[in-house]
Amino acid sequence: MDKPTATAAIVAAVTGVFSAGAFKFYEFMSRQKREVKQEEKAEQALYRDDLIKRVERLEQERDEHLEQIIELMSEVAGLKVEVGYVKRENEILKLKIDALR
Amino acid sequence: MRSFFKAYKDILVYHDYGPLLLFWNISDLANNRVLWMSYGEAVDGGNEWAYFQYALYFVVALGMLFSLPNIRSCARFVGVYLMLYVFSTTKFVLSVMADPEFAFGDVGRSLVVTAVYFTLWVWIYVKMRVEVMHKDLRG
Repeated sequence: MDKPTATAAIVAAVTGVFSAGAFKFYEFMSRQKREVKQEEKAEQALYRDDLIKRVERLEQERDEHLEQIIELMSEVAGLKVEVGYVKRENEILKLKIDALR
Repeated sequence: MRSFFKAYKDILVYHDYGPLLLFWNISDLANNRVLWMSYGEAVDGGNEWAYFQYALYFVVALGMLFSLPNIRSCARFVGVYLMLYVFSTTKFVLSVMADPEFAFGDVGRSLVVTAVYFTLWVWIYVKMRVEVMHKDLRG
């Protein structure tokens, strides 16, 4: 093998090794970048899932409270009617007592 | 003006290399001296080393052509092709430096053309390797 051929072979080999190394480094950096992005995404997903759960719980509580309010309103309506009767009965009794005097 | 140059950048970054590689590969094979010159002729002209070099180019180009659907193998062939490119260019430059009579034509023109072709192959190789890497990262 003459000198230019040997030198050219060495240059080609060195270029190959260096470019392979450079690409491995680029690959490593890209992998790191991707991992960081995935971690950020996972964190965001965690936060989103937590928010969804909170909204579900709050909606459930709101429905329960609405039912309680409806129950209370019907009880209040019943009590109002009862109070009306009691007041009328009280007036009648007062009139009866006045009549006995 | 800026968008004009951006269009060129987008072509380099986003456009695919597949059809270019296929046609370039076929043209490379058809241009290879192994097809148009016998080994005897090369020996007579004292170019047996060049003949081996062209034969190696031919084998690698064939490998590239047949492995085109498998990007991983094709990238390896393109890598070997680039190494051969570096080897033959360096050898050419060293030979011209040692003996200016070595080159038949204009050395500067040959080197400019080689540099353009080299850039083309590097671009194809980088695109392939990046694609393989993204495939690996996606799993």
